[in-house]
Amino acid sequence: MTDNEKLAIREYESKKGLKELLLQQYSKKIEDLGLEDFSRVKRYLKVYYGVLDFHFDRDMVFAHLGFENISSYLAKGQDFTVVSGLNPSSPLHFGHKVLFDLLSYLQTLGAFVYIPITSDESYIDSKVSSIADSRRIGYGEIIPSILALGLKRERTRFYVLSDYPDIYNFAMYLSKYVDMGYLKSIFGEDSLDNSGKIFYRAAVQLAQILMPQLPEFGGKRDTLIPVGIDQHPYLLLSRDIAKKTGFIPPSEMVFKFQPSLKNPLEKMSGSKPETAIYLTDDADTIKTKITKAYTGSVSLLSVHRDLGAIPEICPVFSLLNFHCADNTLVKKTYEDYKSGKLTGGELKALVTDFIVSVVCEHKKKRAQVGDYKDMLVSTPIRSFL
Amino acid sequence: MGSSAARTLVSKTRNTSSILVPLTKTMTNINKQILDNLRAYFVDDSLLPIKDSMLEIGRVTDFKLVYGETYDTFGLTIDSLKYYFFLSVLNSLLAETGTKTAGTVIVGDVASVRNKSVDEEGVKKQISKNTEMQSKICATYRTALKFERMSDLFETSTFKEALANVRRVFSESHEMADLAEKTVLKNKLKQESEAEFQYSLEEVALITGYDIKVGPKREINYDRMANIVRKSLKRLPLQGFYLKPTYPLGLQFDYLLKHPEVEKYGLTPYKAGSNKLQNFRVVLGKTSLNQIEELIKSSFCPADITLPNAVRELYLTGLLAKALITKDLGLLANESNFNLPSGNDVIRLVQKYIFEPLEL
Repeated sequence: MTDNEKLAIREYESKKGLKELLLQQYSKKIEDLGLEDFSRVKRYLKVYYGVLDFHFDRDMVFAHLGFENISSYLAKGQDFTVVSGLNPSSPLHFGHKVLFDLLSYLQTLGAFVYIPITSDESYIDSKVSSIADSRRIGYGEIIPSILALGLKRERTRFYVLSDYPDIYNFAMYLSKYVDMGYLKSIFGEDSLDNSGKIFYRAAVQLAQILMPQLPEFGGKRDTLIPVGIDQHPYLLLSRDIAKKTGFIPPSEMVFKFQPSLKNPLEKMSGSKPETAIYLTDDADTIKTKITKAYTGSVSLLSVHRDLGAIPEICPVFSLLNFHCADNTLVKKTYEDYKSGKLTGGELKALVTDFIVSVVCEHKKKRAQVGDYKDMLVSTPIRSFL
Repeated sequence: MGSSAARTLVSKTRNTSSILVPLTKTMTNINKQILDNLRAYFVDDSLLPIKDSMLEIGRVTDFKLVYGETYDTFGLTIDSLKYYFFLSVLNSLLAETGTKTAGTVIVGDVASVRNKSVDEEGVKKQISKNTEMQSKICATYRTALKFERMSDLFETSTFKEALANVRRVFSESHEMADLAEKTVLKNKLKQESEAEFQYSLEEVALITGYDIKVGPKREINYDRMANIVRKSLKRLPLQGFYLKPTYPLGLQFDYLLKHPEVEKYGLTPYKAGSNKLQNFRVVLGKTSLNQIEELIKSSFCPADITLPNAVRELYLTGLLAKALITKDLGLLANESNFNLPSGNDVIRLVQKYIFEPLEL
């Protein structure tokens, strides 16, 4: 055995260890954070609907808290309310796309979706240089991009926080119920280092989550909040404050993050362009980013052919897994890559073609989005004043 | 049932003087198939691994089978029927090997009114009504089951001796004490502990004399306690067969998601008002066929047999009724008969083999 082969085998073992770490990471989170495994819910949904969207089927949604309450709406065929937003600091990337694809699927099951565009959060977290920038990205980039992902106009409402000051009155009302000690215990002092962050995390975010339960929006009812695992503290806080203020604690649905192109243990981040593929990237940029991405295969071809790759830790494969509805293609790619039949280079070429086609299609749809003023929330909030 | 096959089997068993032959080995192929199907389609779990059960080790020539139940004011459920029929079929299969068998249903009249919050008079009236219905069931389906009241059993010397044994072992065994704690609700633990787990020990004393017990899985700790007592008496362990849980009809999967304890253990089969779901059960003499039809229509009815399915349980009860009433246990040997038919076919089966014969 040559030194190169020995090195490649060590590389393979190390990647295998990474896979275990990744799997444990999710199961440990479920246990540590007091979440419920989504697989129990999934079994029932699969029987009830016959076929599930691939995001559910491929376990991208892996945990929940209180989804049972939402299941009653599903079982009765009733509409239900979903809240999930994002902070506008960059164009949408494929990590965001996972969320909006899920929202789009939930709409087919009866979801009415509120999407707060948190221009204020982008600013206080220094992801943009001004609220104006963030606002511009929200209206000019984010909302049209989300709509181009297929969300139904009649079942979607947006608001950009800085243009909907009524939410701050509601936030002020809720802020009285959150004490600093509790806030620090949930978020840690590091993420509360300016007063804007304190008000945002302690109150504004809560206001977004609980707003649909105000009389102006139909009154108290169950709501579903799909989040990445890093958003779980917000849900804990909002469930607690909902109980204290007479609202119904929101249900949480937790999805896996789209891994960074550089590190499978981290998430794709809009503020780190090398980790993400934006829906605005051109074909050459996509190709370059994917070519430079970390993979689940080892660097020596002969060892790759012998041992195969580890698709579970491969950010390139995950692009296919998280975004390609064609189960046959995904399954075949997984098996060929895992067995070593498909090389890392071949996988990158295949995924590049796929991602470029998704981005092209998205750009076409985005050009057709048109006016969305009718989808902006402008209802005055007065019920608690 | 293929009676000639059964006769051959009986004589074969009698000729085989060794009592070490596993009982299932002395069964006809068709009866073995029936037993396998009963295990596969009705039994959720057993107390002992099948290989360790008396049916397999075969050192017993005399089997006593038991099922016990308590009641509320809402009536006798169709789920009780499933237990009666299961016990009856199992009894027949064992009897056909030439083994001496006796099947008993313990009517828990005392246990039904132990809880002070129950309407004692109402429950007693209901038990009287149940007795009439149970006699009718025995006669109609020729179940050969003996219904014995707990209050009568308490007066027997057999029970008194059994209770003394149970108390003796309980006082010496930490394991018994641990199990006794598990038989009571947490909020009743102090009270029961002060009463030295009298009720639990009485329950155990009632069953220690039996070899096979059929019941819902929530009774497993009583059965484990009974086996500690049996071990001290150098008797072979009791085998418990826990039938698949009883689920409410007319509810969707969200009910099960919200009630994981019902998803796992089901409702108490013999208590119609278990979890206040009496309107989602079939209560003999109260629920009409039209109501069953409506309940079936709105039930969660998955094809996946690992998921709870109240319609399937209703169908299986109907199937046992059919096998008993037509005296054709052989139909339980045919796996295709266990495929769940349409809701209308389930209703027809229930109508023809339960409602009409019992004149409900």
